[in-house]
Amino acid sequence: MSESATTVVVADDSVLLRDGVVRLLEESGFEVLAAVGDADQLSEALSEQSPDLVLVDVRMPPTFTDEGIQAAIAIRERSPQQAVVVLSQYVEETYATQLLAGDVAGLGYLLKDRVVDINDFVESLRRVAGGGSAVDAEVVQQILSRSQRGSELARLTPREGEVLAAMAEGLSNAGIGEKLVISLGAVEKHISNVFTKLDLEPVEGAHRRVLAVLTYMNERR
Amino acid sequence: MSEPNPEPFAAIDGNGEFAGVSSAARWWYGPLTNVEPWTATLYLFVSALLSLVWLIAMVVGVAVSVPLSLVGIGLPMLMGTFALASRLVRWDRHRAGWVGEPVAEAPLPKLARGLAGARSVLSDGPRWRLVGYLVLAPFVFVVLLALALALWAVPLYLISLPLWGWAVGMSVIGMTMGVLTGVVLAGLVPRGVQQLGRAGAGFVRAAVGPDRVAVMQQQVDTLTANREEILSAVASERRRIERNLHDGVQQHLVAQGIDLGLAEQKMASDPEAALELLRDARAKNRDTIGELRIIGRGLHPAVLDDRGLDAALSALVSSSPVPVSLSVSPGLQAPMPVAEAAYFVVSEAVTNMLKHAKARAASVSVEQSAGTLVVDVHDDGHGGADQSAGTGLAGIAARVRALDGSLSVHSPRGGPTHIHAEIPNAMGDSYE
Repeated sequence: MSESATTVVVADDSVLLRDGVVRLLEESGFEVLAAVGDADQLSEALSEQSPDLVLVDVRMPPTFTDEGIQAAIAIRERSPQQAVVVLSQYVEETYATQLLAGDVAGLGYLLKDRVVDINDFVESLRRVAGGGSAVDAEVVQQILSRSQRGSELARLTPREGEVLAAMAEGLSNAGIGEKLVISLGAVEKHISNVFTKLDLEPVEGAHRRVLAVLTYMNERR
Repeated sequence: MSEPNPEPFAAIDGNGEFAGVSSAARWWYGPLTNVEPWTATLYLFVSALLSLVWLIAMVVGVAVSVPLSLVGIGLPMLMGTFALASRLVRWDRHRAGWVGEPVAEAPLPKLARGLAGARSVLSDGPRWRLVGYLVLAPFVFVVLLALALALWAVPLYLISLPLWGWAVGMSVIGMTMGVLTGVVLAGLVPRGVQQLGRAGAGFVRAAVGPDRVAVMQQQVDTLTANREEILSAVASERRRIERNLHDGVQQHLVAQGIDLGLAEQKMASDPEAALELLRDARAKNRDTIGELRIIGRGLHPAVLDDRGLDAALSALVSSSPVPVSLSVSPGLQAPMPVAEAAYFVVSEAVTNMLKHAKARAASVSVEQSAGTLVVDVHDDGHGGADQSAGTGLAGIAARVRALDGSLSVHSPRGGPTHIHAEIPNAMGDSYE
């Protein structure tokens, strides 16, 4: 195992997509330890290997519903430190909420479409492998739009709203600055404003912010 | 077994007197050569005979078990009597089919378990009704049989007058009149006897047939079940489409996206590799288009609208990698729901065969016969096709049943598989 390469185990029942993802990962400097087709094979592979990251499809045999979510939860129960990214064909908020209910460090929930934006995708994977988190922007949007805290959220400026969404996605301060094209100082100022306006306890670390923000938005729904 | 000509004298006008008389005679005496009057007589005879035996069984059964039920042992005996009554009545209902339709079964209410159930049997109206019928039936059938025999006897008696009339000193005129009356009456016998047979069956129906409310209740239950079945079939079909789109087309597109993204990254550094990736993406693109076409055809085969069932099925089987022979009744006509159902029966059967059966050959036949479109799909694969809930075949079966048709699947493990569907199609006959 080379020191620099992030190791990955991939689980996806579609051979076509699995091959594509493996190719993408290898081209992007990851080391793919195993690529399997269902949850059973995945847990078998994980009993032999301990990768930096597990990349798992939501829908796999036998029922093609939420096997990936269940597998991810099971993996995290066995080894809470294991970084897992779940890929989904579509936004399913309940899946996301179920997955992200506990500690979100080292967890990701992304739409499959994101794979196509190779750089962003790879960056999200690296973030999760490094103990951060990645929540798909669309999931965040859905949770935001369904949040009953409309009046409280309305107190935020548009820019602060964007910062809030970026925090929920799991971006670091630097990542937010890059995404919104603003300085690090401006990001810090916006974040502090958001926490003050929403009456939230400030927390350190991007992934802990994700949980704080998601919990905040999920409350009182 | 044809019905008598309803217009006996229609021929007289055009074809002369002789033709008229002969056709009238054929009409009047024709039924004598039919099998029905004889069956009706046999029906009454057998029914009268059996019902007398049943009567004895019932009288003995009830007379012994009811008094004994006070000490307990009679209760099981009475239940045995009721079970016997139910079996005998079932035969009687079935035998009514000799003179028309068999009488439909009328299920008995369930008894409570244990001693309470056994006690309640003593006052169980529907079961006593069966016994009452069995006691009454011999009288009804004996009377009907007597009438039928009398109907046969009277003309025989009159026609045979010349054989023995002399002995009792009958006049020639009297005998002639008698014979003529007998000859005329002979035509009445088959009609009368058939009516008596039907009256017997009618008695069975009225006494132990299902009542109208129960029959309608059963129809409502069937329709409700059909409706639920079709709704769940629609839902599972939609799920299938969603899965085809998300797990098929979407995966293909994402895989293409990966190829294109990597190609983009490599364009400057490694144009050769980038070109290879672009080729891959194009191949996947072609597959995706093919997949979309298949999904579209699975929703509704457009060719069915413009060219009809034969053409649609030809297109379907010709795309199968396993050779499928096709035979469709020439000039077959069917309304769209019927044609669509037939199409999807074949489509599902062929899809199943390709997916699971490892067959080497298959045959499809669609024939119109007596108001029914009959679809048969055979394959020589290893069988095991499943019609249980949630499968594609179950959805197809629901679709066929919604059209009052039926679908059966014979697919033992090891094969071969035969899928048979019958769909009512009145339109087909009018065009034949």
